[in-house]
Amino acid sequence: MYFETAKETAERLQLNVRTIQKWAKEGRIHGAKRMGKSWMIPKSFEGVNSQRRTVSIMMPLLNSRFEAGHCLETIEKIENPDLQAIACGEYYYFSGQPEKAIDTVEPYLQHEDTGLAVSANIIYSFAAVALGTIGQRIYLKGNVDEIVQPNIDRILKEDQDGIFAAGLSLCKHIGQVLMQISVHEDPIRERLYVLPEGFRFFGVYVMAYDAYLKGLYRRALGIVEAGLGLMADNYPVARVFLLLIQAASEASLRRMDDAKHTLFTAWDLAKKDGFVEPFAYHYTLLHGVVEVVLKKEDPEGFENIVKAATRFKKGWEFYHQKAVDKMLADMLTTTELSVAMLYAKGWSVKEIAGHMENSDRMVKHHLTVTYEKLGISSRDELRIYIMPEYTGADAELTE
Amino acid sequence: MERTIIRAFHVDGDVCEVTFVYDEDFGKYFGDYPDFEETPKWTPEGKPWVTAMEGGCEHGTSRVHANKTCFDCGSCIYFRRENTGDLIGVCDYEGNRRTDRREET
Repeated sequence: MYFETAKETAERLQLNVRTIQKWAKEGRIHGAKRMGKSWMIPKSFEGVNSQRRTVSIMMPLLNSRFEAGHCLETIEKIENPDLQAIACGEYYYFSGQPEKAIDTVEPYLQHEDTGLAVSANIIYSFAAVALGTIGQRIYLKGNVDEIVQPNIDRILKEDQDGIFAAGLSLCKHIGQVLMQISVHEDPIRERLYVLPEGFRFFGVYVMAYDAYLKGLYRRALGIVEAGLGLMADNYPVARVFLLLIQAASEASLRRMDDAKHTLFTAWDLAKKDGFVEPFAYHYTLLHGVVEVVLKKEDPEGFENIVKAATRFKKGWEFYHQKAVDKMLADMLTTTELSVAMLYAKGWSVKEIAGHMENSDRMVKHHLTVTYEKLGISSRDELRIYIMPEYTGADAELTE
Repeated sequence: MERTIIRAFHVDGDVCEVTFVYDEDFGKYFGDYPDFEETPKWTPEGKPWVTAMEGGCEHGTSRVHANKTCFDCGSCIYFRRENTGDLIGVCDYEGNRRTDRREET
């Protein structure tokens, strides 16, 4: 990146030098550096209204290092108001306030700053699913390209280190894996290393989740272990997500004690900032572990998670327009869904009862009610109702 | 509307009564089915009563996947019931039939 003085920039853009200095101080000029009392401005800068920032501003909260419990303080310290707004949107989403997340990021959906726009679209999409009342359009469904394409020349000019391209690739991957939509095929692995740390660790989570969905639970655990092992600094958001997919993989391998311990560690970290949404998102993958661990230990936290999980479940089914005439979310309680999911995965009534610290009779009762509600009479039919993404492919278990 | 009703299931000349309780939230009756694993019940022909939710036996054969084992009575070809969709019925597998009561006592 080549630099010039603020005065040179002002002359080139025919602006007042004080305006340039003010923008630099406010963080509105990406890449500007302070050298003593002066500012060095990237030569590629062409004004705040035309600049396209790179990936460093995507998902600012995810990319922020902070001690668990200090999320709001961290957001307050972000000087740039646009980045602060996006970080707020992230916070609202992670803390189970999707309505506020949507309100906050909506003005940025078509923002001229591509980084802001892509971030806003990701948050908006997930919040819309979490809210269960999706509007006409889900932004991740292919239109990340729509946002980027008109600005591609400028982006390529600015993105000499490939950060934006890698970030964009990850964003598409997030859509593909987490929302389970087909928009992108490029492997993200090769590009992760150029990303800022927080985003990179979230990318590691996406890779682990991808392995989980393919039923490769041991591989998912290996990916998580590597990610957590490399995470020297505190990125609580990425850490919580990594721990949750770890717990889900352990549960799928029937390592229930490990899964409970991991889940508890994740909650211990997440509750300090009220991050319930990641638990809602993973609820059905966690094989009833949330219920077993938190119902007794933290009833209030458990209740908040169940509330968010119920809402999310509904949104997810609506989003994917399941080919069933009845929505599970409307019909089953979270406990019934957990029992049903385990049963569909091949667990016996006794195994489920042991795991959920309940009697065989109670598990059978949950199954009976589930069967009656769904109007089914066999485990085969139950499998059709319980989404494949909930049950996983169990590829490793059948190896 | 009755809060509880009793429904009789007839299979193989035998009958099994199940109490159904009305769930106001759901607007539907839910059956309180017997636990035949705890308290077995046999037809006069010696066939065991089972519920669809029960874990199958080693003879279980899937109704959907030909020649595949199934792990619940509901999915098994040997699960015979009065009406399609009933959650209670009897096991038709010859090997599970109780042939001689005296032998067992």
